[in-house]
Amino acid sequence: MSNIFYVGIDLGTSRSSIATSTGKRMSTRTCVGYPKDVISRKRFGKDYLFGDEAVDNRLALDMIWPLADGVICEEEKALSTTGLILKHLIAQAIPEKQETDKIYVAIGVPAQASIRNKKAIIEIARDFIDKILIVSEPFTVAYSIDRFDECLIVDIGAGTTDLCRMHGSMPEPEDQITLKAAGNFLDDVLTKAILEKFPDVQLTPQIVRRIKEKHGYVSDTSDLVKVTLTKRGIPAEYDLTTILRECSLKLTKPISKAIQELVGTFDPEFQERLRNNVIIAGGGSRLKGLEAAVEKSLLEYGGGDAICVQDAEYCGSEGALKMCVEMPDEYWEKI
Amino acid sequence: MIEHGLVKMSGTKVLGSAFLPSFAVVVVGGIIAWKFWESKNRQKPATGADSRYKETLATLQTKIETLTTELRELSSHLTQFQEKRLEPQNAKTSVKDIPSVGTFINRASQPTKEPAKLAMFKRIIDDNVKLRKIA
Repeated sequence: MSNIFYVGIDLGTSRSSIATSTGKRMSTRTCVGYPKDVISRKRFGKDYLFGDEAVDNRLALDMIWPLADGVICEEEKALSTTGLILKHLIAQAIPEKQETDKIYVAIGVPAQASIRNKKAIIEIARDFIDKILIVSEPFTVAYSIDRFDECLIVDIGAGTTDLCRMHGSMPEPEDQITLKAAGNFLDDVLTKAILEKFPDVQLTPQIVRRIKEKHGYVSDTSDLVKVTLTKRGIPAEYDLTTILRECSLKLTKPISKAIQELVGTFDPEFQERLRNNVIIAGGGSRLKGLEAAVEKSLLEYGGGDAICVQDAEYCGSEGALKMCVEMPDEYWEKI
Repeated sequence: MIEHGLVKMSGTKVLGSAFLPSFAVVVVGGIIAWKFWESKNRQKPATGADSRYKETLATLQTKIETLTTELRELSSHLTQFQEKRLEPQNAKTSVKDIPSVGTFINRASQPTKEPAKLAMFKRIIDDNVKLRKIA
């Protein structure tokens, strides 16, 4: 008797996560590394490496990050790499799948991903996924936490920040905003700021990302943030306290503005409810003091209440999985 | 007369002494045989218990063997699954199991009946169908 495996995938610019009906959850970097030459090919014994393993060995690999701004780059290599990543994720998450078993998947994409991009995902996954649903990422977050009433979902990823107004029914295009101010934007701003203050320090994208994830904050007060960086190979401690806050605020300001826009254009009788139900998800939700910063930005609108989801890493994929499991069979048959 | 009586007494005595030992032997032999028979009867129940213990032991041993075989099979399955999981690429990913659901238990479909959710699903399906029709 064949099984149907249900899968929820959050395909992110920097990280992708998967949740399955077998209870498996996995998260990996959205990248593939191809050996640079014969020597590295021999060393790894593989044609390519995935995710975290690829990042760990990146010096010997040509790295492909196929998603930018949350969508697949329009190149042949990016398309095939995305297909590899999806196939690998599913194979790792459902190793028990037999030939006769079926896989039904819901994949979250940025709120305003183009039709072309959505079709691209369907095409590349056709060979190894039996039925695939393309859904909006912030909607998968709302579904995960069962919040379809008046609330505002803010999903801060690496490539994009997606905002979505929920009002008891399927959100319309005017209920959704996608911003490019997200994790990668913050990395760039932070890199420039550090090099401006400390010109000779040695930085890589991974170092900057680690600093951001460990120390990033927008609260009014913080402990001193001192980070060890190298200057021509010589390590020393550098005070990044002020830089980190200033840069993190450059991310939260456009987000707050987008929240204000969505609240301001909502039905006036329900604006208060919306302001008081701001739900922040995604990797960016881990910025310290973010909820308070968002609430502060809503003061002139009458105040607000923002919370971060418990499980930022898997909220989207869990919501997508939940949709798969709760979707009636006759609906699936239409695809 | 006396001699006849003496002869008679002697004869009786001889007979008696000849008879008595035999009788004694018979009696003693009888006693011995009875004792032997008695002890043999006492042993019969002990032998019965022994065989029951042996049967139980044999049953337990059989069960232990069956369980050992099953354990071996399960270990072999587990190894196969682990090997399959590592093929073909051995990427480092972080793996988390939802504690309440076993790795090999596949959650069945639980179609919703909530009208609000069904309406949203209908919309999602319609959008996905339209997506596939666009050239």
